[in-house]
Amino acid sequence: MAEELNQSEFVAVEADAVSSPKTQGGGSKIQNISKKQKIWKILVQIALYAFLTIMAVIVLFPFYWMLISSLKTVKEYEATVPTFWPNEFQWSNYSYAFRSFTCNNCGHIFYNPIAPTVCSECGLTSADFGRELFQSVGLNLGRLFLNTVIVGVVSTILSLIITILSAYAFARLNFKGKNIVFALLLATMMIPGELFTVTNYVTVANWNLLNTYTVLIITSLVSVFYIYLLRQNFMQIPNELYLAAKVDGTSDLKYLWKVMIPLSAPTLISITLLKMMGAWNAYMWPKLVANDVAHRLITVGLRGEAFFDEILQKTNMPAQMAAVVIVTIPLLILFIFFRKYIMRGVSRSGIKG
Amino acid sequence: MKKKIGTLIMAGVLACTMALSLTACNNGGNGGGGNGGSGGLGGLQGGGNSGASEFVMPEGGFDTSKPVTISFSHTMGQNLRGVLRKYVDQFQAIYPNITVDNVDAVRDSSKYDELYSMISNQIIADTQPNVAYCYSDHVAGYNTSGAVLTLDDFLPGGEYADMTVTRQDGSTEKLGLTQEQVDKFIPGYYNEGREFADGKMYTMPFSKSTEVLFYNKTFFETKGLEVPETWDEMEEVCRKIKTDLDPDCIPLGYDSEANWFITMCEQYGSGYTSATGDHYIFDNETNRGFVARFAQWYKSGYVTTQMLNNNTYTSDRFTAQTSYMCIGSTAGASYQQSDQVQGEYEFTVGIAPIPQLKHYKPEDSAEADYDANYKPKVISQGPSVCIFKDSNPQEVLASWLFVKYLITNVGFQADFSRTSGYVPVLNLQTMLEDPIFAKNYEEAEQPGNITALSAKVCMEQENAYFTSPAFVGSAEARSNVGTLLQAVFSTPDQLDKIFAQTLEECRQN
Amino acid sequence: MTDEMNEAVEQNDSAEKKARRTDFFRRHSALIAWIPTAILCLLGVVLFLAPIGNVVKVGGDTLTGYGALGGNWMEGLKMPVIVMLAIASVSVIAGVLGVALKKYRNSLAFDIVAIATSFSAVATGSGQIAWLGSMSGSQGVVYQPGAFSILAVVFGAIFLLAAVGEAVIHSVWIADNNQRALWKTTWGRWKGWVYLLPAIILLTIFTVWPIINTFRISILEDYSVLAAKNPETAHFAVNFNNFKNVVQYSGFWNCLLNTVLLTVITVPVSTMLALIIAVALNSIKPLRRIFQTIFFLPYVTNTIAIGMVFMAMFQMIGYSPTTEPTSVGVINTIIEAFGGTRVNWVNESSSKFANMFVLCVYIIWNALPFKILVLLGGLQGVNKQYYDAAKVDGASRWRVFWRITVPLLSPMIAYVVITGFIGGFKEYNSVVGIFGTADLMGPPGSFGKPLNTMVGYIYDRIANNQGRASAAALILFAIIFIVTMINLYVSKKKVHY
Repeated sequence: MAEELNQSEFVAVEADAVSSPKTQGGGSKIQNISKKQKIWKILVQIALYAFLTIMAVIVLFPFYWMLISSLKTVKEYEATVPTFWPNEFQWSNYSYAFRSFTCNNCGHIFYNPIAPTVCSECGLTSADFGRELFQSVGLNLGRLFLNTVIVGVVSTILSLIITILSAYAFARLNFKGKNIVFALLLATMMIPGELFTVTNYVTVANWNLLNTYTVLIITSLVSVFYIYLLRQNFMQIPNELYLAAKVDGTSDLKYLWKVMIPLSAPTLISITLLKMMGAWNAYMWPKLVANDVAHRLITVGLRGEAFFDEILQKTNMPAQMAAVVIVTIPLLILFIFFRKYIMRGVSRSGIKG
Repeated sequence: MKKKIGTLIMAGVLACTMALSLTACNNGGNGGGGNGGSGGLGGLQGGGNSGASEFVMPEGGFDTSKPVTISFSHTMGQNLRGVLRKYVDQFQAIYPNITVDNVDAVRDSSKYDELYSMISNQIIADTQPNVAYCYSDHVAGYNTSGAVLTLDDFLPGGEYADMTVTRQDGSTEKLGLTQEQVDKFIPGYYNEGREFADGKMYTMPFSKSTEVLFYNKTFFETKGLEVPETWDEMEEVCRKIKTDLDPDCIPLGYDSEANWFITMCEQYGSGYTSATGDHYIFDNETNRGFVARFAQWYKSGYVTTQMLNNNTYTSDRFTAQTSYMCIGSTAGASYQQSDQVQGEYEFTVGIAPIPQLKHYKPEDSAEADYDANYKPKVISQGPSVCIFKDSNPQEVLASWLFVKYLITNVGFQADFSRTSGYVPVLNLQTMLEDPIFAKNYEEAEQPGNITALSAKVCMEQENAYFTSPAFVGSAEARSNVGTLLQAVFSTPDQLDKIFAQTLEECRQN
Repeated sequence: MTDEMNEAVEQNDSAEKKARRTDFFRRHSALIAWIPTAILCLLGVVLFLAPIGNVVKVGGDTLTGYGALGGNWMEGLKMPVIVMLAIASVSVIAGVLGVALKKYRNSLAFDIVAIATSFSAVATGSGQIAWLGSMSGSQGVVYQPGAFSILAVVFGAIFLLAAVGEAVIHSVWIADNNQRALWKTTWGRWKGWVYLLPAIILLTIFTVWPIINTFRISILEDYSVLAAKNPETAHFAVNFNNFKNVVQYSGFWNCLLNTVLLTVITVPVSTMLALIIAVALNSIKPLRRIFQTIFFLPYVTNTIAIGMVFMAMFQMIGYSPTTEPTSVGVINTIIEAFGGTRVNWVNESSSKFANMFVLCVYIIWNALPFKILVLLGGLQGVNKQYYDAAKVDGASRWRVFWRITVPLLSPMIAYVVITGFIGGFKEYNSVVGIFGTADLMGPPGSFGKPLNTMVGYIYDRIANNQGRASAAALILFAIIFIVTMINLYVSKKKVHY
């Protein structure tokens, strides 16, 4: 009897349940036991927090280093003894990232993403000057943002359409060869991308698509990973709904639009966000096919030679770090606000294997 | 039955596609049917810059009445582009029908290897420029597609050399280079364009740099040290500094391991690479000998290199006075000078030619290792230019005229050299015709004129320049021997293994 | 009355006539439908083939076929042409077979075929015209499309309109309810394909074709894209020398070993760590969001900066065989503060073990956020009832973890492990990030790229020798494929849904 009582006390304390009248017999003994449990619980909590804090510090340290490096001068950054706090704060590293154009006549530096028509400093236009008045210089982070947003938004919208249609076809429609095609699709996920680069470059070059937005958008339209993800999601929506709608005579497209899409909205949002992040991080392929200033994407620009001093053959590291910080912030904000959706999108695909 | 037909159809279409693609592509790919990529999804593509067509001199030579546009790809920074613009304007005044494109556009790349991959890709896409910065190694690569123009026809004795072109002001010039013009080039630089397997000329030198010995003049004079002229003397000076004067320092810094290895091969005459036959001939007794010797230096703390110095330039040590000598590029001369402290430089920088194997100058005839027949050897680096074939022969001619103008124009060479730290490709006598250049030359010894001083030293050894053979893989070979040197320094007992491994690595290309 | 009777008779008659007419159509509708369609098909094919024998005028001379542009007609055929030819011929064959087997009585298939072939005629013709137009102007030569190209475009367009019109008429006017239903089900059977069409087209161009091409390149000896552009050197022997060369190179096996080691070490460790952190995160209520955001940070940042920071943390500044380093690096400082001896992590003459350690730490650091995310998401999806039941039974925390959490989380764990393995085999950026340049792929003073990975090997070769790069990439793919299959098999056995 006592043992059973103890066990139920155990349960009551662990589950934070309000002690029911039935368990109120044997007061002080129970209180002693519950104190022990409470202390144990607190210890466990402390241990958990300590562990998490240590891990968090380990994770955060490189960011801290990056932040302070972005505010150092080049000399201090390269100093033999690294400092943990900058001696002087080089805020100009941050504006350096947005440098875009300089006037060939007066040397004034501009920060607009798109070339101005008149120089605000000396008042000339290209026509007055006889030839191109403005010269591209620096990273032009503004233009990089613009390019990445354009490519990201357009490719995300188009890709969503394709993904939804394809996932719907695999999830709900029955057609010949469905399973074979799906298996083949999955197989392509496993292939390392390096296999494709050379061939795709030749293909794209032959179609005169180099240095355009088109090439960046087309090649990122189909992602088997997201089709798979969405298909899993669609399959979770009960088939009965579909059959009922069919009986009513709804066409497939209408059903898709009115029922499926709203029901899988969280996953769709996750896909959208992940796709935008993909455009943000894209490096090797855009570098190969669209690396001129008018079409360059963010990561390509960051790792490029905007910070590279030609004669010295050295990189201005603090300025580069500053640019990296600027670029990281939008993603971070995105995550903070859409954390739930990103996590849901990422975790769903594992559910049905 | 339906199912079977369905799958049969699908299989049929797939099989057809695959089979046809394989056969269509394997027929030597792309030769016929106009331009286009390596077969396959070639599509029906427009011509554009369809290159790789052999140059045929059009009737009437260069047509000064037809407007033509040429493009020039380079890695010049902002300042240099200003210089280029000035002379492009002058050139365009001489030949108003020619427009040089891309002069003010942001450089597509500031690193040479990126320029190489960019242009390679452009060749694949048939959008390569007319003229481009290059190294011989690059050109060897471009030429596997046959895209680079041979220049022999424009050189003295060539087929088109004697044709004339009329300028805007009515005067004429020869289309090709005259012998007189060729003689004005520094021979080592000029001959670089011939370092290919077929012995034809593919590049023209544009602007050059070399290696020199920067030394802490103040320190040397205070401590009564003599500037070493041979490697033996260098060893002696290092030993003296390390043991007697400053045990905590590393007396000598040599930035480029690859340059060191290659230069020593040339000084010993022992063989490095060859454009024909077996490409990689650097594994021999002599080379192993000098590598082992310098490894000893490293272990004794006499020398360090860039890679071993944690990938930082040894010039940093030099300016911080933890090294007293630095062998580095003349292009980076300004970085060997430390900043002024209260209007005064911490120490004076002296510049001397790099050490050689033996004494050879007449005034050193008393030395033990004097050899009157010894020819000094110093490496030459820096960009050259090449011209790409084009379907429009007028563009090719315009490109040649443009290149010829830039490399023979004393004013441009002087301006470029002053702004960049590189050295002109014309010899000293010719360059002294430019008044500003002459003035800088005279004032070179004064403190703070380190760029001018390094240029002066360069030009005084203008007959010592050599270049290495160029073939597909020569760039990688260069990088590999650099790795070899620093690896042997670090683990001298593995010397055999390192040499063998490096050879294998080179052969992978 | 007679009028009414007459009217009735007339009505009857016309009704009868109507009935007879409809009956006639009904019985022979398929025949009626497919004859014109078949004619259109055949014409389409003919016109389609016509541009091959096209007449091209070149500056006064009249040359025939694609050979006018300097090659035999086989080389002149470009891929789209081949594909369309394939589709056209196959669909014609299918149509004929279908009629013969009396299975495809309804004319929908033929409508599609007619549209396809006339469309391809238009496409080929106009494509050729455009191509020739863009070729003109260089070298002062003018290429003019021949009559057949123009015919192909004009008549193809007419037929295209006719075929589309016919399809519309079939489905709207002639069809009766039965046929409509038949078409609807046929359409229903093939609808999925249409939905998939954009994805399939894009995948074929950018995934399937590169795979085919990679296979092709890998068996061509000494293949390089630049050499392929030169008509003189564009003939490559077909053999397996590329594979032989790759496998015989000692550096390749080193790369393979590194890749396998890195994967085998980092995947289990990062998964376990992620699991523990996810469980810990799940057990705390306050501050959870903050911790989640912190742990997600590495996912959103740029790898280069972080790689350099790691390098800086582990590196000793001013290290050389004869002098004391000016700084031992952050990690060593911490070690020495705890009374240990400093370790040479990534400087000259550091051991491969130390290098591997730093690499693994970096890779795990990078891999954690995604894994934590997935596992945490999975944890939050676990039904609380299981936990409550366990508590009622009085199970200890440890047992709860192993017997309930892990099995319920196993789908997620499987996913994380499988994708982790796939990613691990493709590891490259981390090595470059830690060691600074792609030349050395190891600490200073090393040679032969000691820490290079498979993908690093592929990148090394891709500049000059795409044939060997493709061969290596195919080998890598084979390995990943086998490992993934093993993983899937194991997960089938161990994972509970």
